[in-house]
Amino acid sequence: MPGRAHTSAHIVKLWIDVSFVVAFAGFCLLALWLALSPMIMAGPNSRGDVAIPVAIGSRSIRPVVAVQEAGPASGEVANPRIVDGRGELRFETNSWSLQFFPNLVRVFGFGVVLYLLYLVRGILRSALAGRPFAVDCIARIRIIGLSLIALGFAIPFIEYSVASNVLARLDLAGLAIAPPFDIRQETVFAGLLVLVLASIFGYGARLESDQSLTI
Amino acid sequence: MSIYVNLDLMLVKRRMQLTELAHRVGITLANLSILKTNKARAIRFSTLDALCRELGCQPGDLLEYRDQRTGTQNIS
Repeated sequence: MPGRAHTSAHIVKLWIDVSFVVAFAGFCLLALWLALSPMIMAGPNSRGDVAIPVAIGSRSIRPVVAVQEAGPASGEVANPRIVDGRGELRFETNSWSLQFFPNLVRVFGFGVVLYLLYLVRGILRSALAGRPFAVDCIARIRIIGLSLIALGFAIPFIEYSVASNVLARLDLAGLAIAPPFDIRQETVFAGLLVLVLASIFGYGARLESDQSLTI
Repeated sequence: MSIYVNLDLMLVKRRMQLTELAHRVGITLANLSILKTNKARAIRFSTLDALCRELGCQPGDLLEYRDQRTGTQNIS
């Protein structure tokens, strides 16, 4: 690996290592909280935090909220509305069951991020060791690509089911909110790009094998 | 691969050890072993040149084509 690229790879590896440690700490804390939450929340005044993604409007896909013009209608603007509004509903609760599934999804999310960071660390380690086209490296890139595609489709279903479950138990007034359902196109696209990268690396591995077996 | 390297045969004919040939040709014993066990995918002309020079033979003495279906030489 050339000198400048080697330095860049070291910097990226350091950044990934720090991110991995932070994500691991978050994962451990959240998992510990989740494991101990039945005991912690058994107290009379103890509360747990809940955060769920919501769509602003009455529909899950492309929700629309009509907006009123202040004062008399000018005629210049007609039918103003907010389309595809998204947000996060946060509240505190003393109900253990209400906070459990949203926090379980968070733990799962941290776990997935940790696993992907672990794979990226392995790829960088191979690259820094001068073996970027190793078979295990290509397998890691392929797993990252497939995971991203799977997450792109799985996240909307998980978010939707958890949010609809929580919203069904709440009686909120003032703003129409619905559980969101968004296919993560950018995640799926990133996964496809990573798969293309994996096939390029596979070709590189074949070339390297040919080269090493050329006497 | 249907191309076989008859390096062991030539070594017996020349009464030479693999290590000695590796030293004289200037390639590692591991690479020469890959060549001898027919695991090589390709051979450089420079390697072939050095082998022929040290073994005193022609490229055809080192390389042989065997039909994989019949396991015999197929010379038309």
